[in-house]
Amino acid sequence: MQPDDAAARARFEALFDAHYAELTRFASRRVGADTAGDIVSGTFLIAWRRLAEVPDAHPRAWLYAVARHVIANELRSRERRNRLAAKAGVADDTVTEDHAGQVGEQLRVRAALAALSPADQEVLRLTAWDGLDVAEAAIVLGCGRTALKVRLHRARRRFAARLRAAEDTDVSAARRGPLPTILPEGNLR
Amino acid sequence: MNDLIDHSLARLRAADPAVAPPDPHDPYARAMLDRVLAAGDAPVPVPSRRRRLLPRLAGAAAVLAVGALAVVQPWAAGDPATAYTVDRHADGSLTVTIRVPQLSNPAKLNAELARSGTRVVVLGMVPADRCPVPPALDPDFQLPADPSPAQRDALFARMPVRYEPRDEQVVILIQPWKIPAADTLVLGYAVRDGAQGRTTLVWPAVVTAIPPCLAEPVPGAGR
Repeated sequence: MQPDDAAARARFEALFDAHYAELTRFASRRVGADTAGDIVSGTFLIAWRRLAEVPDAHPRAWLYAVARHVIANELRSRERRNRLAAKAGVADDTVTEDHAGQVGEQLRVRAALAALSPADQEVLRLTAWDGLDVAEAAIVLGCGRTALKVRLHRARRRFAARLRAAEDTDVSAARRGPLPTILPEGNLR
Repeated sequence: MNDLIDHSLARLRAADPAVAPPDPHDPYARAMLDRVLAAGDAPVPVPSRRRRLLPRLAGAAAVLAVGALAVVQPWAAGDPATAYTVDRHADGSLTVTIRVPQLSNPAKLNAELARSGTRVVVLGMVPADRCPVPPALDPDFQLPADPSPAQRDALFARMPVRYEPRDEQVVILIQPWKIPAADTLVLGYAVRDGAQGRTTLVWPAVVTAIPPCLAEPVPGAGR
């Protein structure tokens, strides 16, 4: 092994150790835990081949930007599979309400997030879940810091409004109560 | 409203679906590291930025003003609203920052440039077979067939444009006072996908008439 190779390997192993855990979490938020390993592996493979391009300043943001491309490919494949499943009449995405509380709350919040545009969702995920600061999120999304701040501000507002609207709808539906299917005689005007 | 937003964000953070942080030293992670190191070839050294950005003036540059700027970068998807920015400076120069993959239609950018009074037009380049007529270049901004280093340097000094890649953008500094009165600076742009990733090409030309189209440079043709 040449000295340069050894240095590159050492640098890559340090990169792997430093970011494996958070990259796995990043991927699991977007594609689920089952597929996250493939995304992480694919991302680190690209990072190894292009190690010289990984910046010293924000390596995490660089890795996330690469991971987003790997995820996009995965989601395209998944979409094709889902289309085939839909054609075959397979419902694989049923969501059932959990009445135990916490899970139901998480489903509600995630449903409100999922109702936003993909751009809004991503900027919120990067900052609220992945813990990126403005500079890092701007690198991942390929925009300037000012643009990122504007997008984040708007996304937060829309998310809060969407969550509130969803809950207002739930409350009014609960107040209305179940409609009677049979009206007893005498109650009709 | 701020309380509502803060409360909503707190609920969002609590709804994080991520798995628990895995240990990078567990057997699964070490196996992945070994697989990556074994499967991937040795890291590819990046050609120096200087070399990648050097205008390709060698060879058949007789009819061309200056070379195309090629930037190979892992472009990320982003907001179309950030496709370009135009900044005016006190000395009259302009900085145009473009993210070519997002610049699907330069009409708004051209309108903004026109409002600034600068004779600059941005055009998307098309494959050469769709644009067989070459642009009418100002002879003062062309190189002879076999230019000497001094001739190249002189041309670069005359050119009203400079480039600088910055992060995922191409920053173009335009010095309008260097554009001859009857001429227009045309900035052609294109994106190519290749084995190395996405390559952005930006080609400036000082023309006597705005061309209806601009052909992409042919690799190795010296442009």
